[in-house]
Amino acid sequence: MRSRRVLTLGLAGLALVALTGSAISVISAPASASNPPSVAPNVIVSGQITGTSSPGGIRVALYAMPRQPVMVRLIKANKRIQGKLVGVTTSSASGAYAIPDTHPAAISSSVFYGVVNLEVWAAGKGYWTVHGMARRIAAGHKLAPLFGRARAVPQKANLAMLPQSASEAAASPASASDGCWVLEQDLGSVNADLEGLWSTIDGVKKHLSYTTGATSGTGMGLTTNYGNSWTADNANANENSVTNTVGTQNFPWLKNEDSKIGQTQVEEGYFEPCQISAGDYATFPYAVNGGDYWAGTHSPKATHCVQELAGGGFNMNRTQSITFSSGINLSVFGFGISLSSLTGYSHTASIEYDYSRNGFACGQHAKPFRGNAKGIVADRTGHGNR
Amino acid sequence: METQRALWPTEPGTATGEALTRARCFLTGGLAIALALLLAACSGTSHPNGDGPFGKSVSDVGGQCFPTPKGDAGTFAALGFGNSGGPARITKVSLVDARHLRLVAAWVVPTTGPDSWGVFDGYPPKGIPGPDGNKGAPGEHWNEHQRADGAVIPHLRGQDQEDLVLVLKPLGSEGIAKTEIVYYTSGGTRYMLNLGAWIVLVNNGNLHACAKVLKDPPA
Repeated sequence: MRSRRVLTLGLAGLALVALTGSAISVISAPASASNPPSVAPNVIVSGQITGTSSPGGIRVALYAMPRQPVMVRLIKANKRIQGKLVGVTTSSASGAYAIPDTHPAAISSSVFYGVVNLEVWAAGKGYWTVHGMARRIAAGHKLAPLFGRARAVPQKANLAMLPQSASEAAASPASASDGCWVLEQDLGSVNADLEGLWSTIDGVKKHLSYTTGATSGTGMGLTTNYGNSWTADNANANENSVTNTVGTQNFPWLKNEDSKIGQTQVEEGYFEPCQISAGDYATFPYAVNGGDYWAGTHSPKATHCVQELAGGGFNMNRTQSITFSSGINLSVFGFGISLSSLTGYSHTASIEYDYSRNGFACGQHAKPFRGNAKGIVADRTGHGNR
Repeated sequence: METQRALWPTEPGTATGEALTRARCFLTGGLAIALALLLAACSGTSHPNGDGPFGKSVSDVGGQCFPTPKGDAGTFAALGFGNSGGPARITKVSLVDARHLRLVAAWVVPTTGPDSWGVFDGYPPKGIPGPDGNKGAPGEHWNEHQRADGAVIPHLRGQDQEDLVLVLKPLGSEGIAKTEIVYYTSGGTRYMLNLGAWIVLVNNGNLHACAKVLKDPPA
């Protein structure tokens, strides 16, 4: 394995991603530094180029990546994976950019199970980066985050440029942002976290299922061979999406105090930009294989509790899922990186807790059934495990 | 007993209680319908907005099954909502597709912390503050409770919410509702909030009945 520095986008404050409210004003581009910002209504993504002393004049393009079945077919045939151009701009002298949706058909033809994988490519002046963002098609054909309220558009993505080595820069065209990958290595099956079942008390049976059409948001890692050490960071929202198409997966029942994280397998690929062949890479899952796997876990802190009665129980179809910051561990491949993963939105993991004794159901971030409970811990007291 | 009467309506199952409940429902329902018709005429729209200051309507979030003592009521107090807008008035709380399940009473209770009540058997529910002096969940401000129909909900900050306390009585061995809807007005606009959780109350004393329900949920 060549020596590479691996960066997930958003590394240590370099690639900051923030979901923003609908009222955000976005900056039109291209624009000179002296031009005041203006509002462009059809902007999909905007942000700031960082990580370079010369952030202006960088070509920034947004691509819709192929639907998952197309993606799989291309990868298996070892063909290029070409995204469809949605919009393009050039960063202003200060590095600001905003990309409007100038080719809506590129998105509509790339949707799979209501979700489209978009990638912002930026390249030039010896720097390069890609930012992946999975978006679901909300009412009115609006692009919304995979999870949460539909109003959180457009996406704000500050792009942390990765410096290229001299050989990379020489191998790259002046503006290498063509939205195209070729498979460098198929890493095969890796386990991805789906959902956790947790209990600190006896007398609670727990069950997890994961249905056809369930969509997962998963991390995406980038590498460049500039430098000689691995770096991993998962504090970013760089993501793509894969969808389970293989039928319902029912996990075995967990009893009593058993707490585990249910996993399924995804196909992970290691990709190279078509225009750069000197050491810049990305790794991301491109399909779901399915299957049931358990991983050990300890109960997370969950303090938003409601009482449950002996003989009663609940199920939750939408747990507004947990983000597992190390949801896909690629260290076995020598990447020194763990990609985040989270379960889907519209057809998602379903959990069931049956109580044979009085107890409590405690959410991590909110009470069960409410917006962002994010995983449930069965506990003895109404205070949870605070 | 005096305290109990002050805190909880007459027990369901008694002639007085049911008559009062029916009368209350009739009056409240009539007022709600009249208000709804009036607002519809004013606004020119026939359907309230499902996304409003109380939050976004949801569906198919899952559900809750719990047993009740044979012939008795149970209390479902696991749902709630915020209010990001100005003062709002709840016009009605309804169960959707209710079968063999009667809504005996509905309350809203301000809550300011992570604690909530959940589900309780009997009526009045054990554990919710009442004559026994049990303070219940510390973040629940029962002393500020209001009957849900007609309740005025102020603007709520941050994580503060109004918990919905539903007193339910199964009329057969199993009482079912597919979801709950809160109808309300805010700033002259009508809204509805679908809370999206199914409810099953098992009235047959069989502690395994809910396990069966959860395997094949009603929604």
